[in-house]
Amino acid sequence: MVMPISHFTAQTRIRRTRTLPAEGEILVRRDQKVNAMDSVGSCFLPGRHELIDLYQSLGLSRKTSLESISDRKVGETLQKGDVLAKTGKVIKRIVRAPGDCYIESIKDGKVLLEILNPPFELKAGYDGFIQEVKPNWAVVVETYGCLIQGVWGNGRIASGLLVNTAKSESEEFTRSCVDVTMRGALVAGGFCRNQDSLEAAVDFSLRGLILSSISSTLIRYVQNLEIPVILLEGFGAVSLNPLAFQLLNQNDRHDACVNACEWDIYTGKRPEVVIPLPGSGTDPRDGGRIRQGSKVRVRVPPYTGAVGVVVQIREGSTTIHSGLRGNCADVKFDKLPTTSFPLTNLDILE
Amino acid sequence: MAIPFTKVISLLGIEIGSCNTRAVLFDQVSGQFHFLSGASAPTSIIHPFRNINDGLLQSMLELQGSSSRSLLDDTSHLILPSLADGAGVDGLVVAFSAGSDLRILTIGLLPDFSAKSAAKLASSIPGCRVFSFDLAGTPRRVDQMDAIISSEPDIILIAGGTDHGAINAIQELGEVIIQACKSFPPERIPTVIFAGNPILAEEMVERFQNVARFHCASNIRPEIDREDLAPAMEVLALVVREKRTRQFEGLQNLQKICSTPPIPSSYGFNRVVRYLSMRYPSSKGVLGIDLGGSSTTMISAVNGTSEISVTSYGVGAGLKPFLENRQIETVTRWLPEQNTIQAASDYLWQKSLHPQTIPATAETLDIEQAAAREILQTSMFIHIKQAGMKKVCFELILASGSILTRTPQPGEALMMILDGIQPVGITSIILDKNCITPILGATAPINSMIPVQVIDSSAYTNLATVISPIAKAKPGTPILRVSIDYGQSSVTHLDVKMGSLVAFPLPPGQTANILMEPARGVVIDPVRKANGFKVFGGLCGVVIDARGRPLVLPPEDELRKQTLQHWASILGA
Repeated sequence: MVMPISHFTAQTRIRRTRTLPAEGEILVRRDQKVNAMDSVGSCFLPGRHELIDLYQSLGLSRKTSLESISDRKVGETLQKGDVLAKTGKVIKRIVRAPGDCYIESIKDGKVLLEILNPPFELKAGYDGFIQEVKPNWAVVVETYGCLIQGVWGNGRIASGLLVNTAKSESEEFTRSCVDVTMRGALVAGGFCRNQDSLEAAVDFSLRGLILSSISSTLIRYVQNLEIPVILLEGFGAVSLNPLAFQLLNQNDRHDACVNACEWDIYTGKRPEVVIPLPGSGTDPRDGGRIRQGSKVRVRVPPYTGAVGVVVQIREGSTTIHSGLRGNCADVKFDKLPTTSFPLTNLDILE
Repeated sequence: MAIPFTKVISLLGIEIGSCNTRAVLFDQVSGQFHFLSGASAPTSIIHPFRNINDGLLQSMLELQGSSSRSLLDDTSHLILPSLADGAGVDGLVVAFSAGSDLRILTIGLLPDFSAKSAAKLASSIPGCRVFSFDLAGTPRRVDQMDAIISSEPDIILIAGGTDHGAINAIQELGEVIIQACKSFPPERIPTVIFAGNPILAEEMVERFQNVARFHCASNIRPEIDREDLAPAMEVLALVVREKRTRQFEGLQNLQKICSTPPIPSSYGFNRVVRYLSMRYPSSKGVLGIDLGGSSTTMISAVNGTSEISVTSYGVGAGLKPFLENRQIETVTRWLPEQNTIQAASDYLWQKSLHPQTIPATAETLDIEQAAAREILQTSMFIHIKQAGMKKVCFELILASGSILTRTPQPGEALMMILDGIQPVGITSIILDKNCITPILGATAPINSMIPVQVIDSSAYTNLATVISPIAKAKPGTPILRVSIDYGQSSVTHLDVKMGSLVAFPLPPGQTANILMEPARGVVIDPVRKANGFKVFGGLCGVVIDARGRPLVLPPEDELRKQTLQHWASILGA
């Protein structure tokens, strides 16, 4: 069975396409070096609308010629305060644009305005080079380094110095794990059960959190945090997997970038930590077949997050502990007994 | 070479679900169509595959293995039509429910009429998020414009104006929509469906030319008190199919060899439920349930007229919207262990990240089954409201979806259905154990005998005949005296007490005569008045559910735990 692969790779080539939500302007050129928080493109997204009745606003009869009070045309872009229409010579009455706007239509003295939002800014997401520019739409950012992929993120992006607080894979992330010396850092840790521990991230002005898992009761709180939070394993008290722990340790005090976007299973966009490093590498595989010898991670209980090696793919379907049947593989772990899991419950790690 | 529909004797059906792609084989045996075999594989529309082909190929390879029939040639292409040696099939049908959410914006004139019908039509399709507004509630043009733009729709469905009814309001609305469409980037301009006053159809086609893809459907509210969704459903299905064809690589090629155009799974399910409602002509009608990974479809039908509602709640990706909208305690109350609230919440959120996983332990299976009960209950509540139903009383309930059909014990499926739907009166419950109903519905245009004959075959499983009397009595009070005559002088008598759940074994294929003497004030069935009738056997036999409606669980943890375990033990769950 071919399955998606999660990457915990020490050195690889990382290429990601950053696409604007609407046609706009690309602000970088090919081969340009960018930082994670640099804007690589911008565009305007549709804003709210306002309808202004010029005759009513100026207290005029509808018999008045529109040309005598306004010379604005459909398609014009105005700045806040620009005159939309005016009348009177001695006592002037003026209608001004309520904000930066675009004139969508003018009909019977009524002007339909689209209020322009501040432009949407597309961030590079991680430090790298612009490898390709798709004019008005997208860029491809490329770098080499360590790639750690997560399963959940709260939609924020940041970069900073990576500080790993986990002394072991199974250590809980608590308030006592962070202190004032970590201000501005991306802090990595194990599982988190209490809101108080997350509040510490705000109190000590951390730039982001990389955690193995959080209690599901904290989801709403994390979604509202201004800093990125990325989960490598998911929900519950799930320890850091050994590969992630090793990579976080290896790259402690290196500059890292966290893109805590939501995992989109259809496009493959997923939350990830990128640690740019000198050197080279090849593109990681996106999908693969589970075989004997594949390194796999268990995605749901029992043993969520445990990493092992497939020792046997069973023929046909097998009855598992729940009484259900499925195509299974026997997985051997370092510290747990060899256990049979449905293939769908496993994740290939590379 | 296309085969005339009447010559189709073997047929491959495919359903592309959000978690699994199913392939099923139908063939004629002694002149009757039968379900021969089925197989499934994980759906491959997710990254990195992003096509339907991998899942399709895998499921067909599995089907080849389980049916011992060659379906694919040396180049892994489907053998169509079948060969003289029996390899291949004569026809192919496809139903689909997978895909990222399509956003449908419905707009009507009045909230209780055209706007309601439009929202109902939009909610008949799985995998859609529906946004709605009506001109009465949103009279200002700018607000309408903002509502359209902010909902970022893939499809706009306009309804309003009875035949020969309102014109001006619809014309003005058309103008607003045209204006809004111009605000979208070209690749995001929604497809517009007009299902309102037909006098305006031609004018609308003209006005939307060069603005958006535009489709006209017949008026869904031709008269103020008459709703006609069926023709517009076909147009909506066409538009959704177009959108999915662009989303799923491979669907277009598959469509080229299909015997009829692919349809949304809920529409296939609807055809079968409608057929069953005509076959069981009773004012109680038939209920169809399809509890999937990312959506739940509920269809109630009486004498061939149906109501469909699809919620975005399911036991896979559909857990996320469900958990965002419901308290976890509504799920954990169905678990015997109270200290599992946190574990249940964590597990269900984790499952929402990995929808294709299956529960590997008894505890996680319990949690998923508890969530299934609550999803059924919520979806049923929404359906009742939409359909304006007064009682949850059906002649037959047809249940589909892996969580219901692949339980270790049949009693687990029955418990989920009884706790989730809480039917009253006398109901036969049938399980679509091979999850073939949407596919079977898709075969109907090829040969209407296929669904008829397959339903009569052994493809479906009789789960139980359930009798749920309506009574307002104190727990423990006798409400019903039951005698079951199994024939050959074997008669069982029992006094049923309020609050109890009783099961009489009666295996599938067997029948018995049942006689009930209700206590005063007890109604056995609000529609069927006879107290004695013949019952058909099922995997769980004949079940008398006297637990009361609505079902109330004891508030005390220990008592609740004992009660749940007791009920489960009665049905062998």
